[in-house]
Amino acid sequence: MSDLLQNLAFGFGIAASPQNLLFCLIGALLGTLVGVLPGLGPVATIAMLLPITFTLPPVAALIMLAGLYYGAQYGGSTTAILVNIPGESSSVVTCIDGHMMARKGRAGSALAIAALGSFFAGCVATAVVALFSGPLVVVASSFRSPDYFGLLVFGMVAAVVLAQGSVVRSVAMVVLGLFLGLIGTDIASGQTRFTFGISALADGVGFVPVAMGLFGIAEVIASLERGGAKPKVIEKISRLWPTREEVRQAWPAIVRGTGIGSLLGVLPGGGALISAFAAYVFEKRIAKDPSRFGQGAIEGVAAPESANNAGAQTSFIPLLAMGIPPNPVMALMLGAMTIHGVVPGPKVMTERPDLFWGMIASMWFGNLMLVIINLPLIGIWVKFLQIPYRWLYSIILVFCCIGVFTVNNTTTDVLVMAAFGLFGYFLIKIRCEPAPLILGFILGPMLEENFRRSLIVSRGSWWVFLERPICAGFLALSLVFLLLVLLPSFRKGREEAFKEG
Amino acid sequence: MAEQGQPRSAPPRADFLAGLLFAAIGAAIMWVGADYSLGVPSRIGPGYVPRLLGILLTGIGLFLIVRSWWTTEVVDSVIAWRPLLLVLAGVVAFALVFEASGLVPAILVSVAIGNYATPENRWTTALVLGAILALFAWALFVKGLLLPLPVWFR
Repeated sequence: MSDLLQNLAFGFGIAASPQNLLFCLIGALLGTLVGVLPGLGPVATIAMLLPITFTLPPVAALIMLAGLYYGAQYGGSTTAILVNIPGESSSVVTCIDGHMMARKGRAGSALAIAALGSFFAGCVATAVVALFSGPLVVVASSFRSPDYFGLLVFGMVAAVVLAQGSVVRSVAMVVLGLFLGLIGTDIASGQTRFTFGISALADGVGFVPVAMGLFGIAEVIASLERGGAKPKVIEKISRLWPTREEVRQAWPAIVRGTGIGSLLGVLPGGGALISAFAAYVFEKRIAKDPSRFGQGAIEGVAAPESANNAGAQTSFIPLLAMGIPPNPVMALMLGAMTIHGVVPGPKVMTERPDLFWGMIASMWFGNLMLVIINLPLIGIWVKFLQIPYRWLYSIILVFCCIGVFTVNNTTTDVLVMAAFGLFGYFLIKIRCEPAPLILGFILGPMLEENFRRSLIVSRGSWWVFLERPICAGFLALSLVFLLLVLLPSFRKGREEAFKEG
Repeated sequence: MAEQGQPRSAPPRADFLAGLLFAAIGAAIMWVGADYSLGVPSRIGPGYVPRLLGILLTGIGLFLIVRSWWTTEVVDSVIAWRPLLLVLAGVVAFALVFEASGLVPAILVSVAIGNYATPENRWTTALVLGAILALFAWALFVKGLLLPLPVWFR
């Protein structure tokens, strides 16, 4: 325990340096902006910012990018409450009751509860990350290849079950992603695979152009298609302080949302989005009068907004402790770490304690800044909502192009991004979710490598995956998850949960 | 939009089209991957995992095609050609013009094309936005962050 406090004190010392505080603030500001603006998410923005971080020290760079992700969770609620459009996908459920509150003249209370709930969740989640990353590092260092293989399989299954949409189609998207991740040179044999003789593909398809194509470009096209109607902003915010009665109602929901978010954030495939959904459904289930939900129930704002912030932060745990990114944003963080010469995994904590503890401590500073950025300064962000999308999308497109180009200094990546933009639009049309594909894409090379190593150790016997208890446990859990989804009653509940959005 | 006029024919089932896509890609993976060595189980070759994935993907695709007989979810068959083509053209133009003449012309040309993805924009929008973005990108990336980007015709 005293070790932990010592480490945290060390981390706070690092995070409190003027330079790191400055980049934490920049990340928080950018995150809020990205959160407020619909059609621009943290994945595309972090990818755009990667080249900017080249010139920064690694600690400052990662502190800024982390701030951007959880900052986006704060900003997303503003748009959801005032415009009834989710500024961030994780704020989808906040629209339901948040906007209803705004229409009934309680916009100020909704915004305040969302921000204060996020702050509470942020503080708790910072502590959770600090408490659990360490022990998990110890666990992870006893993992062998088959165990990693089992964990990766479990992660992908969990991601599919927790994601929206058809389970079978999502499984296919994961498999397709796994395949795309294998394109390029095979590390073990040196053979180039599926490159069709194109030398630019020898190093594989880049993660950034694929992610930007699927999440940036395809989203711009889809937003333009939906476009047309001008969003109606509720500008009258009235008093920015909830009543005593509202606080009394919201408080337990904030605590429950924080708990759900902290838990679901750690799961592979988890993060902000699923946490918000789960927290909303849970609140509605346990409410004495569920009919209030949809009519401006404050718990319907408090719980998901706390949960998405907690989930965003605890999803750093698998990345920091095991080097496994549980969602696309964390995959970009992994990319950022690699660019700065940090190898993600259990060794980060011992080899780069400044980075590990500095980043965790910075989350607390970031949350403090975000409350100030989002409550007293709310008027500024409302102004940003007035920027018409017909200007905004050109800006997004240009920055996507420059960002993708600068990662590897090649225009081939820009063309790859265009191709995946087209593919992503097609996927939206045939109702396939792009998120599982991205997860498979990131995990593909890791999965193959651990599969190969396991078979080398076992001299070719597949039984190795059942002989090691950790691996067998993960595989059994994966099977249970998949079977659960096939059960009619569970399936109905899952569909209902996602219909709320 | 959707309420106007009845669709002439029912759009295809989502499972059917997705299944077709996955089965085709799976088959292609096996076809192209047939050249890569499978190795032996204790030392798998570069073709081993792709072969597994190809079989899995084809299997899921065929399953989806069969399942589409009794699922009802249909695809969204309306394609917004204007934003689709012009946005993609803008991105491709950025790559080509950048390669030929540098950052500033690439931004101007790509904004000029992408601008028309929505009918609300006029040519003046493209001109003003393009100029501001070019100036901003030059100041931020070239002057501020000192990235070695070609700015203008070399």
